Amino acid sequence: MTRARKIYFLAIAAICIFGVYGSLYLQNLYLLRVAILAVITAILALSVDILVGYTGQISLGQAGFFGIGAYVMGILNTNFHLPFWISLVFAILFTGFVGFVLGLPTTKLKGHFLGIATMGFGVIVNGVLNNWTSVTGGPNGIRGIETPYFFSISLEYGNYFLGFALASLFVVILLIFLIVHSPIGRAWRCLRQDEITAYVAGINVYKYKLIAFMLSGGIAGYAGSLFAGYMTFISPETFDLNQSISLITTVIMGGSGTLLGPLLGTAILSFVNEWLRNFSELRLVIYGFILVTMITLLPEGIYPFFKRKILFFFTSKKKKRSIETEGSNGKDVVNE
Amino acid sequence: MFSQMVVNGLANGALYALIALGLTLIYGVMNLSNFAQGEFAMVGAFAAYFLKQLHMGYLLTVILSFAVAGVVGLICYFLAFYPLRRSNPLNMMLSSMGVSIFLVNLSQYIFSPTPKVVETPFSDQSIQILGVYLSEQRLLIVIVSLVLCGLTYWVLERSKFGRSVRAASIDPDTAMLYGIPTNKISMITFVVGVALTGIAGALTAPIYNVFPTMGISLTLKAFVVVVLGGMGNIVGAILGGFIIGLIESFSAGYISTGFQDAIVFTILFLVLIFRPQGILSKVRGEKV
Repeated sequence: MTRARKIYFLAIAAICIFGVYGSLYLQNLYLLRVAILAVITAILALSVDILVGYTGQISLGQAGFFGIGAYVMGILNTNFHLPFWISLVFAILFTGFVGFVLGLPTTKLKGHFLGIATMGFGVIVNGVLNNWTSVTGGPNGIRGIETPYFFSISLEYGNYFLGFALASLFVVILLIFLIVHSPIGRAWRCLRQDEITAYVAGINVYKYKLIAFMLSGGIAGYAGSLFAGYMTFISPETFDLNQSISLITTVIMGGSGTLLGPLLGTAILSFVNEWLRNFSELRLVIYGFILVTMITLLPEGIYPFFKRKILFFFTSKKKKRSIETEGSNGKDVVNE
Repeated sequence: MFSQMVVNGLANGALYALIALGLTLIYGVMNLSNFAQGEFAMVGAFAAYFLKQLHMGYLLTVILSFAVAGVVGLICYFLAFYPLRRSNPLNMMLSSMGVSIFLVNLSQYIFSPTPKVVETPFSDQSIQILGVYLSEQRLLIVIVSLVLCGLTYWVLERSKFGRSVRAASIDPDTAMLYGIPTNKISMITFVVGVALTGIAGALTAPIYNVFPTMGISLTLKAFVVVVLGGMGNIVGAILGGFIIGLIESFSAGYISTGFQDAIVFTILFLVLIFRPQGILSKVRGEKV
């Protein structure tokens, strides 16, 4: 581990401890609720980022994994009376398995086709949740899911739940960080750049894509279980196409392929979403407008844009000149 | 019963073919999966509704809805897609989703979500051919769709403009080197593509009524059709439209209407697994 990476790591650990502690002192119930949902969204956004950012795939069906995770938790917990933690393990394993099954055919696809296939996955899952009434309860959803105890601390109190959700978020960040900096992550980056080159270099492209799908599914399933545990009530409309779209938007807007980008995107979009409640009916109109504007103005994402600007500010003049000429050359290259 | 299902399926299929035609044209030239495609059908349907309020003839409103959808499409093109023409296709796709959210909610805000009825002189009468009932409106949809599809195909295959569209869709950079104004071509293709969808919206308005979220399911269907026929393949899109219309009508008749979408998407999956290039297109080797 290099020195820079160690500092980065310590900084994250410090923020983590600070965040979990700070969450215990948040008094405002409304803010608490927004914060918990934002943390769950952040976990989901990171799961999308594994596919979209690190592996260069597209996922327009992440709400499918999210929904399956929530429903496995809900069904095991209410129908089979399994405790929260055991249901949680099952939910993660099952969504990981679903990711594997979805990956089997879809790893052969790329680009638009993959986008449409994953979107189809999301629509199918939503259709099943809505229509398989005997198991999922149909549009009425599932009620009365147990809020967990964490070593005799009831997470029914928002503050404790927020602390727990934040801790899970940091575990997920750590997990992704470690995987991305392992041989798996190197293979992902290689196949993101150029699949054929990766293939020629001896990387088993399908295997690494499958790993990405499984991991992404498992993490989204975990977020789903958290959501079910917090809300204690789930219904299919939370897990529709709009959810998938807003997740991938969060990632792209924040900056895909980075750890901080999706977090930043989640923070901004959660804030914007709450702020737009002032406009009641015009809310989604403005949301769509902001989405288009952000993507057309900052197609690379907010975090990479500011990172580049700040790094550029601190580089020497000589280096700047060479970057500038390089940049102008780079612009003429046609993006495939 | 069976033949009635076939006829209903073909009538719906003609509509899907028309929408998918626009989608596949746009995909071919701009490399854009336009998730706002169905929203232009909604725009066209609302145009038909309001022009009908002005006591215009129904056929005239259908033609004018083409123009209205085209103008809205032109504005969207310059605001949301033109700035991203050299960017990653994923960004364009997201931008189109933003356009979709914007249009749906704007029309919900302005026109309220309650469905509106468009009256036509063709609504009520149905004609009987060989023991099968078909309303005149559905017959009109089939005829107009087929004429428009044929016209588009003819323009693409026979005219000089069509040749440059095909060149731009095969390789934009080489086409540009040969003096084809690819930016202008992609603009015209986008506008025509969404305007055709606008007509489809105006045609379906009397049957399914007009409401802001009507476009979303049309977009999904159009994508399935386009994948089935092969992305960017015109004939494939038309044929795929009819196939999906038939499948849908059979699944509604024999299984359940609730599972209709799930069944259509399951078929999409099967196509993507076994023939990702579509039923008509040939496999193209990938260049490094």
